[in-house]
Amino acid sequence: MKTRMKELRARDGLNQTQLAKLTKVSRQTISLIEREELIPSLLIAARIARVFNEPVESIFLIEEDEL
Amino acid sequence: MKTVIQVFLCAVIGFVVATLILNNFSPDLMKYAEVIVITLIGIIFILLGVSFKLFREVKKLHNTEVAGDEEDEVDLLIYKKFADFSFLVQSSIVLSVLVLCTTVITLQSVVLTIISIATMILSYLFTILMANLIQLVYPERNIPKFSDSKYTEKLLEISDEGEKHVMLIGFYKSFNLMSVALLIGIVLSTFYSISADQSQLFSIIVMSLVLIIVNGKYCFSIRNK
Repeated sequence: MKTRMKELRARDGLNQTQLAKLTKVSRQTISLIEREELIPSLLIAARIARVFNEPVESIFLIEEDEL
Repeated sequence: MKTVIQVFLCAVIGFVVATLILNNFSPDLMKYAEVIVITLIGIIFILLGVSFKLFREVKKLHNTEVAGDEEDEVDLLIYKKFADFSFLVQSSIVLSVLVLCTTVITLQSVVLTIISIATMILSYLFTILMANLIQLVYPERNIPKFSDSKYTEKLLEISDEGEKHVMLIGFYKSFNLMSVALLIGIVLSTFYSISADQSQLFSIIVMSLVLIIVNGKYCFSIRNK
């Protein structure tokens, strides 16, 4: 699964620490998700989507062979 | 590659042990007890000194005003320094227990026994310092008090999924390493018992029981979920 989090963070001028506070998780979790080492839970994905004002599926891109 | 390294390490250990046995090597650690105790006390003080330095660095970094990507870098640095601090304090606790046990077994001087007790108390105080440091660095998180009887359980409870993911990988690797290390410990104790003619049977039984209990705890934990 690919993620556009880094790109969206840059767009909104947020660092990982700020995004972590807004989504009520640790900076470590944001970093792991961004490096595609952790697939977030539905709840965290929804919180991230809300911060960026984007649908979940446009932030986390699931490839066809993963489905 | 990993398997090759493991096989190589096992071969080296096997070769060393076999060579020592064939040459009638009989280590008498009692002769070196005082040197061992003094060296370990020195190491403990170094570990605690470095820990204190790290403690101050973390506090200083925490009070540094930063913004943007630098804030992330500082947080990462705090995290790494805290992990190092935690490792050093845990190591000093283990070593201070080892020193105290050695002084008691080998009937060292009263001064060394008092110093070894002091290192143990000091290491424990550093553990409290460690718990306070987490609260200082992450005041927004509901971190349990160190005196709480369910401290470790509550600490796991407040961890989010990313932290749990990292801990799981770490614990899984440590668990596997511990199983192998204990097995090697049993083998080495057996060889020591034979070569030094000093029975280590009690230690071998304890290590075997620890191995069974730890593996059993893991199996029952996953079985009941």
